[in-house]
Amino acid sequence: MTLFSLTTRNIRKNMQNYSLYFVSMVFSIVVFYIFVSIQYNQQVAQTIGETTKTMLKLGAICVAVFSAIFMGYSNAFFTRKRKKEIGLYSLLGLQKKQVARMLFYENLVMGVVALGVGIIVGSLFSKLFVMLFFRLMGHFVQVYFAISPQAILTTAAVFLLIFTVISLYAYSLIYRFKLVDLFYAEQSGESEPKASPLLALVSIAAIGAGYVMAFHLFNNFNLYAPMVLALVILGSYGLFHSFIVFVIRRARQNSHRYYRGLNLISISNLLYRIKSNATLLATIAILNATTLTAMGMSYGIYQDINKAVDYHNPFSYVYWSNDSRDQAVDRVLARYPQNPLLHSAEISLISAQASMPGIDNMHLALVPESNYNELARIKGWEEVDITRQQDAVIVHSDYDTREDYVNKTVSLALDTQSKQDFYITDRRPCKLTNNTNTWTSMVLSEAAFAQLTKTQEPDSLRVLMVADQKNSQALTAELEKILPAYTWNAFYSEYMRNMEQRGMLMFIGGFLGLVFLLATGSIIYFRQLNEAQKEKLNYQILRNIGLSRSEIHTAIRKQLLYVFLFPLMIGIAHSWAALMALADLLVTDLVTSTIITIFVFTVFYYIYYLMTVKSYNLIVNSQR
Amino acid sequence: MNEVLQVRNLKKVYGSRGALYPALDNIDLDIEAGEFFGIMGPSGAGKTTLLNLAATIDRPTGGSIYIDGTDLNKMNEEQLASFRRNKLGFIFQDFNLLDTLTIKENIILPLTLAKVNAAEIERRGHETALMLGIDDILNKYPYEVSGGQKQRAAAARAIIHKPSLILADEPTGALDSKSSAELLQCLSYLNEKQGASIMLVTHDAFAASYCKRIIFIKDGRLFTELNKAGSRKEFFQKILDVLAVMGGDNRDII
Repeated sequence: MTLFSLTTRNIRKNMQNYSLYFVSMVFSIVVFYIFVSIQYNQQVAQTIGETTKTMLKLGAICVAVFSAIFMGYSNAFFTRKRKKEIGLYSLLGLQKKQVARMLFYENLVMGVVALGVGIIVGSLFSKLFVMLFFRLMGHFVQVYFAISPQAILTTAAVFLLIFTVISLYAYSLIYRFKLVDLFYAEQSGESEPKASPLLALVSIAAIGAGYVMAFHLFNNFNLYAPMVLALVILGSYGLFHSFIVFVIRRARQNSHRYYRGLNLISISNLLYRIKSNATLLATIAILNATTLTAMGMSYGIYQDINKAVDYHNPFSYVYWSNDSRDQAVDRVLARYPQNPLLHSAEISLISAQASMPGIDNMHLALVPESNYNELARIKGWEEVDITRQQDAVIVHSDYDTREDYVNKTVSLALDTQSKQDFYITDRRPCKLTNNTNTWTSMVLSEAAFAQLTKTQEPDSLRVLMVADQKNSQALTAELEKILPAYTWNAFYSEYMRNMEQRGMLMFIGGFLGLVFLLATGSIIYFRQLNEAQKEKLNYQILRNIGLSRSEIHTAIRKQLLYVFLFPLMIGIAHSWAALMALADLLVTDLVTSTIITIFVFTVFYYIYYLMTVKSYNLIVNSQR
Repeated sequence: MNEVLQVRNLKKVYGSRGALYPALDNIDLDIEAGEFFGIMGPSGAGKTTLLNLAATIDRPTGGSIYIDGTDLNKMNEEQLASFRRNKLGFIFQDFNLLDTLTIKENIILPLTLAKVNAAEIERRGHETALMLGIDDILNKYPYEVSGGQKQRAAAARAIIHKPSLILADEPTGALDSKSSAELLQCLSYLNEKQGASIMLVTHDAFAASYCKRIIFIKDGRLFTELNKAGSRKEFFQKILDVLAVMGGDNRDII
């Protein structure tokens, strides 16, 4: 029997163990292939911009890096699991070199098969995902089925590299084993876990501090963000190493509950499991938190698109007007009855340098009360009523600045000599007109504005509102021909640009989230099955003592529930805090999207739980 | 006299069609309450099969077993589990203690499963440990104590719920001779003072000499039966004689 035939036999016989690993590997390849094939897709290349292309590339790199880590982990797990088998080969006289080469081939064969399957499945699904991609970005394009040789080559190259590195690692593992060690069963019975109450308190305090700090990110992002991450991550590790152990030990002291039925077994098993798995579970909690945050954020930002674009671009079209432009625009508008003109307004603006409390040189757009109120009536904003000439109302939202200027004095530098002070009585949390044309604005009384026009000629801005502005591609394209660049702004263009970027983010966030989830789930799954192998005898004992199979099943379910639940709950708590802090930072509402994300994530996670219970039960509780 | 265990016409065949291997053939057996009963025989004679059948871990191919008058054939999986829990106690060669539990928790396990209240569990746990001389190691873990102590803990677990029958499968197999003797004395004590019915499977003549009655099986059939008369030393000698006649596996005779 050659080494190679031994290898293929091994794979076939171990397929059951490998199946989930194999599926996860194939999935990573499929996801990577889809990313790359979208990148190389002709139709996509024609539609998307440079930024989007870069984001796709980054997404693919993320998938590759994460796949490498997760495959490396699973692989080390398998190699360790086969310690005894490797020892046996050595005992039978195979050289370490040969055993190592055999494992190397084994990994490579499996990798190549997974690669083949992954590329085939990826090709089959690529059309679907290109369609999804376009759909998310708001384009409705007839997508053709296409197989991209470049995508196949890139995928094959990247994953072959990963497989080789992993296989080399497995290769090196053999040299680190000693023959005696290989035959020793893993040391049973570790010392009873000790939990320091001090560490428990410190870790909870660290997480709490991290949460609080997260809500002050806008003060100094570069300083606070790393601190929040460090506090929460270290706190989580501390939490699993101390606090949860502490809680379970407390449960053990309550003899009324502890001495009841299966609790004795479940709780003591759990304690051991948590202790030996504390680092792993904390890592999983953090991975869960990362996944949830990434998915929740990309989904939330995608969902927020209407609100955000509407905020930044409150009107269909805005341009610096003059008579000839107005006539040309009106002629174009008349040709598009599908987007009839709903409102048209002409406003006067004076731009001025202002010194405000805390900032010396700020651009302010000044607008008279009547003009503001006209816009307010179109958009349904609250109107202003300025009675005194030295009063003003500031118009900005938290997007622009969190500074509170109400009841403060603004000093306007009109020309080089004179300054004029205004007292801010109120604030309107909106944006006066579309993005490129205005900054933070200030509404003045008619009289005060008239006074200013004596020294500075106001600019005239025309604001248009058309019906069905989200479907105004033709009209917008037509206007683009007659209006010079940088003198105007269209809601539609901004809307499409946002759709593309946010759709992209959603696509990448969703996919990466799935890959993360898959990897996390697989890691817990394998780890638990490994423990199941070790626990086999213990469950045999319990059955002899008179535990029925269904009771053992219940005990397994309960025990694994906690193993899955702790990291999930902590992951949810972290991601909730992170997303609420992000919502605060980005001034959006992420509650709905966060809840939906958590729900979807939990469903997938639950499937992993069920699979683990099933396999675990099969190992320790099967009929002979 | 009421019988704890009645075995009628017991038959067990292993293997599938084509390659049948009869492990037990037509075994009849009665064990009375309060008996210390031994089963001996060479390797492969069917001792462990018989024990597994009595332990309800395995099902017979033919014949029937009654424990405390209950027909095991008429019970389903669930009922058998609760039957094992309430009526049987086990001692195994490799102790079978749970590593994650302390000695005390291992001992009281059957009571917690039977949902006895905590105070009662506490009391009986202590009482049983005292009886077997392991009350000073209750809070240690199995890996912290000696083999002899582990086996006595296993014995404590087997009797704490006052089962109708204690099944011991080569309990001295992994012990040194001093620990073996101590354990066997414990079992004798339980049998004489507590009235426990014990079924001991062994191929160690020294261990068997503590029994009051021994059956010998060979190739799945009853070979002979021996009743204790006189001292343990004389009984030991008789056992050796039977083993010599039976031939086969007597390499374990000390």
